[in-house]
Amino acid sequence: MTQKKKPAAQPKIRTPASSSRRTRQANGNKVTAAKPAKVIGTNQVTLQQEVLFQVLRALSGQLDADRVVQSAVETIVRLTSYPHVCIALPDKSETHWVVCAAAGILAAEMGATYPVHQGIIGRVFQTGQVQWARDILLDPDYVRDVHTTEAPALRSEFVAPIRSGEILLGALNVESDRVDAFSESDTRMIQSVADIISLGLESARLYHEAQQEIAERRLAEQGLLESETSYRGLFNSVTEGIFIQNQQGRFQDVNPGALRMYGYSREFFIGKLPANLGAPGKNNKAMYERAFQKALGGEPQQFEFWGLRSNGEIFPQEILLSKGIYFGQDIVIALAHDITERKQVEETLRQNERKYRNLFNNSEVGMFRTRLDGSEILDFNEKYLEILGFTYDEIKGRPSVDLWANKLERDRMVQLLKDQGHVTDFEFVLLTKQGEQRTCITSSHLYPDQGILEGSIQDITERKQTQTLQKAVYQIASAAETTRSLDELYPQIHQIISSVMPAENFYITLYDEAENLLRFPYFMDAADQPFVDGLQPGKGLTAYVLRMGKSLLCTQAVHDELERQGEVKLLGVASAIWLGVPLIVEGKTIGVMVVQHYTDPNAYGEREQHMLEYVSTQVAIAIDRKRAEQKVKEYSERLEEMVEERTRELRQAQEKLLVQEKLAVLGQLAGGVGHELRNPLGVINTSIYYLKMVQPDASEKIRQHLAMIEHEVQNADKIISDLLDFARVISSDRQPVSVGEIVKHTLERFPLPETVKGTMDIPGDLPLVLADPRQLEQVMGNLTVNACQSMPQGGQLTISAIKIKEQVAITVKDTGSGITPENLLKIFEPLFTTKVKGIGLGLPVSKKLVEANGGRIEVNSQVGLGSTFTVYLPVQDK
Amino acid sequence: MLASLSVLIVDDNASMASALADVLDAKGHQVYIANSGAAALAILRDHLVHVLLTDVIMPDMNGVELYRATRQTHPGLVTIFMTAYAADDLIQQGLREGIKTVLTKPVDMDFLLYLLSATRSIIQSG
Repeated sequence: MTQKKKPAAQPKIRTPASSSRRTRQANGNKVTAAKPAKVIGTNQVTLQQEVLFQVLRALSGQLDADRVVQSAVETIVRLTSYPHVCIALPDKSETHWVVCAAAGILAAEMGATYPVHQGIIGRVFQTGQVQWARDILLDPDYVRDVHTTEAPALRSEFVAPIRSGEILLGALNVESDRVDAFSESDTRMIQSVADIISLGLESARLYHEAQQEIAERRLAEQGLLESETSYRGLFNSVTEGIFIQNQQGRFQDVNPGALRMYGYSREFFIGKLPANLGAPGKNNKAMYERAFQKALGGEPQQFEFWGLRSNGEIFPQEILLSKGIYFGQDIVIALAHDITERKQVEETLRQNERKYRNLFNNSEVGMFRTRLDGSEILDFNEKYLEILGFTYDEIKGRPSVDLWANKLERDRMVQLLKDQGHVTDFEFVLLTKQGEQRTCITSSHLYPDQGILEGSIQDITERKQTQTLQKAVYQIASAAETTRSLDELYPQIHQIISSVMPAENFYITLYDEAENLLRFPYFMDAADQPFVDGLQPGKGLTAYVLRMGKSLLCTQAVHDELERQGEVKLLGVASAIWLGVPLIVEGKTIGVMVVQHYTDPNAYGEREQHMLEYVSTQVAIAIDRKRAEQKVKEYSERLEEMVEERTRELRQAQEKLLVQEKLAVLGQLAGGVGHELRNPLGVINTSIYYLKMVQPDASEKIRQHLAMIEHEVQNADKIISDLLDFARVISSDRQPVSVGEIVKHTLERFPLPETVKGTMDIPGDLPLVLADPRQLEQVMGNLTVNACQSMPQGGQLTISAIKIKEQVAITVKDTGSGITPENLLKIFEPLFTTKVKGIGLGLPVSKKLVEANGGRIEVNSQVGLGSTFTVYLPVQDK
Repeated sequence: MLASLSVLIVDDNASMASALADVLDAKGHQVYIANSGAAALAILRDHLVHVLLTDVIMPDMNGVELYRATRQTHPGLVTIFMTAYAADDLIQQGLREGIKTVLTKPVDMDFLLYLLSATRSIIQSG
């Protein structure tokens, strides 16, 4: 076996044809339609794995180097977006490289030969390293075609060395019509393909060598038979070990090759059995003894045998047993060939294959081969089984169409495959062994000639579910933003939950800490009614969830168990399944969100529980936030009300002040005006007095008019008095007075009209009261005049007095129109009047006067029945 | 027996003064009229006056000042105030300085005539 260091290379594989007359690099100048680079997406890894796997498949079993490189190029073109590919191998002299397989524009280069240092590919042969020209025009080694001025059709180039350990076997060259067409991951993939090609080339080389060895051995055997001398010479000169065994299997002779092989002296071997040479535990003794017997019988045998060298090293040999004659004796000749190196290569090959098989098997995506018509599943990996939930035996050979929940979906995918040869991220619903529906995506290629479909499959159920949940969470958060109140928020939450799972029966419970009650602000249920007035947290399921702060998926069994433990009791209508999750904000359970189903006990499972838990945090936050918002809103509204009320009070106080101010001004005005009016009244009064005096015999008419003038002067004077009394601070000259006297004087000053019948009821033993007689008379006058005015059609006036404890109560009672309750409150207010005439000072002044005399005044009235004013005054001696 | 009294009526309101004067005159009293304090004092200098019936608030000299002006010259003069104000600081002042009677306008004429006849009796007996 010859191994040479780089840049040394393998012998030339193929004599290049002189098809290309032009001297140029591996790039053409014919413009072909550019194929777009593959979209790098989630499936990139899958696709790359697939490419590698396919190259591996294509090369396995190929024992001819020419076919190895050709298959590799074809596979790359078929599976990647790079149609311009070639493989260059060194020629026998290792001074040139030759294009041994090519496709696309590079197909024109097939067989072309270049000096080993020339071009970008040449650099690989020189350095053994990857070469990557992102733009070949900028590459110093790019050789311009001197025959044309056209721009080259290929613009970027990636060359990977094909190597086996330290040995450079060739170069894999991939080009693109676009500048900088290769992604990092694509270049890694190309390098991996180059590694696989090296395995193929190594296999081919080993095979080739083995063929040669067999030919040599045959030659040796031939010679053995031909000449004893030549046999002896050969016996001594061959590097393989030769062992002569007698009929008992004991060694009679060994050649120097055997001595070198084992490191023992010739004497050691003689008389020993093969078992003495074998590595313990590595060989099947019965097998090779049987082989020995067969060989002795004339049937040549071949098997592997592990030897143990004198230095303790173990090594594999290929043993060839054949019958011979040695010094006239039947013997068995064992020809041993050290196959350590071959074994190593085989091991490497096996490891590589295992590695890629592992890749296939341990891939995170399911991989499969099926028939296009869906009649049979041909091949698949572990992940595929995992997704489906089947075992190997259950699925192998089964119709793949059975796995589709919706056969129409498969029809659609088949149509796409027929139209375009492949599908990418095709979404469909898959049925697992357990009958569960899973959302999956598949990417696959069709091999139309074989009617076979190859591809990958990924279960995206969780991913989709997560997306749905994330969407729901987002929707809840935005509902909290957009709704104006909690009452608007709850139905929106219900709607969002419904988009995630069946939620026909749904309610939200919130815990009212202040009242220790469960409130049901939102309750949608087909069978049950909410507790309108709230519910004491007792043994219900909702209270249980609230108490535990953990969600509960309550099946009948769970319910029975909880009931047995005394944790819960049935409230309301029993559901087939009940699922409640706590609403937790900052570690505090503020309530519970519940879905339940009355007929289907499988309506909710662990999955729904997780989903509801997932969204519950956001629901809790939304409710809590809205609640806080509402509180702030209510508070601000109450604040407004308070401000309004205060404003009203202030305004009233201000109005009162204004009235008082008005009254003060009025008082001042009245003082001045009263004075000014009293003077002319005095004149009129005096003049009338004079006229009456001097004309005692005047006509009735004249006397009548004089009386009228006199009366009106009295009225005018009374108004002025009221005004002045009201305006000034009243000081009273209190002395013991007789109520009877005062009343009598009053009636004299203000005689009753004829229509009013007066009654006086004042007991003779009534004690004197302590009062200012003029002021008391003024009060009585006011009350009397008012009483008479309330009875324009006539009526009964009763003035009575009675001692009550230390007071005398004087009542003035009429049978007039009465005072409405509304007016009753105002009659003592200044300037309030129901009379056409009068300025509304009489009662206020009376009240003021009575109070100035240490008394009080009260009124009782019934509309239509009349009014009663009562003046209380203290008696003289208490 | 003194049939009548000599009464000086002082009021800046001439109508008031003459209306009063007419009533008292008709009742047989000797009546003088003055429309100011100064005029009143002039009359008092030249004539015998028993009763001074004066307004309190007047432009040149008010009733209290007029009363004070007569204290030295006419210690026996009976002075009666007439006022439109029931409670005036000037009235209070006059009451403190010896005024016995204050009538509020419009003057109760019966009461005034009664006062005068009572005064006449006192003067006669005095």
